[in-house]
Amino acid sequence: MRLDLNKLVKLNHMAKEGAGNVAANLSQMLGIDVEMRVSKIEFVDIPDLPEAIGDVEVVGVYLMFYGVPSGFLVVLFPTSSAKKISQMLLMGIEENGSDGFSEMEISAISEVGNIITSSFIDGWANLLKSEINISTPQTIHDIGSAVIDPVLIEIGKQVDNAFVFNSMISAKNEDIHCELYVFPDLDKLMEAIENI
Amino acid sequence: MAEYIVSNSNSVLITTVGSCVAIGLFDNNGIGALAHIMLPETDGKANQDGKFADTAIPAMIEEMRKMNANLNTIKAKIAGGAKMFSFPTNGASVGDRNVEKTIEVLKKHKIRIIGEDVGQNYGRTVEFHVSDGKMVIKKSNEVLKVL
Repeated sequence: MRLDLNKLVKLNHMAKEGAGNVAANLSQMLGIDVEMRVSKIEFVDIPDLPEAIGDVEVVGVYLMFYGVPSGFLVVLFPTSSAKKISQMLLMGIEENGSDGFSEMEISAISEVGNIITSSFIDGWANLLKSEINISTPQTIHDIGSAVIDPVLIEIGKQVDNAFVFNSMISAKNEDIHCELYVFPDLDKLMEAIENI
Repeated sequence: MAEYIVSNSNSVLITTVGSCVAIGLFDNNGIGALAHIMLPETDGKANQDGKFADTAIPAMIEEMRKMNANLNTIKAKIAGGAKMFSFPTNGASVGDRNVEKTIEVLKKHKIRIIGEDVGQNYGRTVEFHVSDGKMVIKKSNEVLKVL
């Protein structure tokens, strides 16, 4: 697939709109300075992604979005960042010193995942003047490459290469990081950017 | 992911699966293979043998035959096929379908499954020891099971 410069500019605009919205909403929710950087918009060979994500444990928040465009969205928090975020939100109500996560901690991280994913998609919907609905986010704590694998399977049913918006979210002063992967359906994405 | 490796040199082959399935085959002569399949059945596109259960298994057997494996001694161990998230799709989860198809295709090739750790809702790192067919299932550095 060839992308002309005009389309690339529009895609870049989309990425920034989504990311900017996430940073603003997340800063407000957590009361800290949050920065969001779009690191890549690219085609990836689906089988290469699990290796890139690696076998470290993460807390992953996943959802599907429907509309123009539709697709999948995954947020991966390294466990240390997930711990910090949950502690920040629960304000010491529940301290779980172990490596695992309590139900309450998972629910706190889900809430942050919810803000990230819905803000990103809202940013797109506004820019594209399109209605995009999202599924209920689901959150799991597991090996990174295993968390992403069901999403890659769903995408892999249709295509061998995935088009992905990859962004890093960080709160530098708090040493909190997470990574956002957005996989839009390419045909619908191309249809959508006509509206920009 | 979506590939397989065949070896005859005491290798330990490693992969991590969620809803995908890791399929280990080994004979009585130190020849073995590990596949990491994503989906049950091929869509007919070329050069994708490792992606599907129904194409990966015969392709592995063929590669093992080329290495002079004792085909009638080949046995299998399988792991994965978890339901990581609930997708709003009808019917069985893709993890379940991957496992079912894997079992069906192995049966068709008259390969006995002598160890399995499938289903549930968690990811598995799979270490497959080609020399003796030992399959170690891990989560991070913790050993969950040895098949």
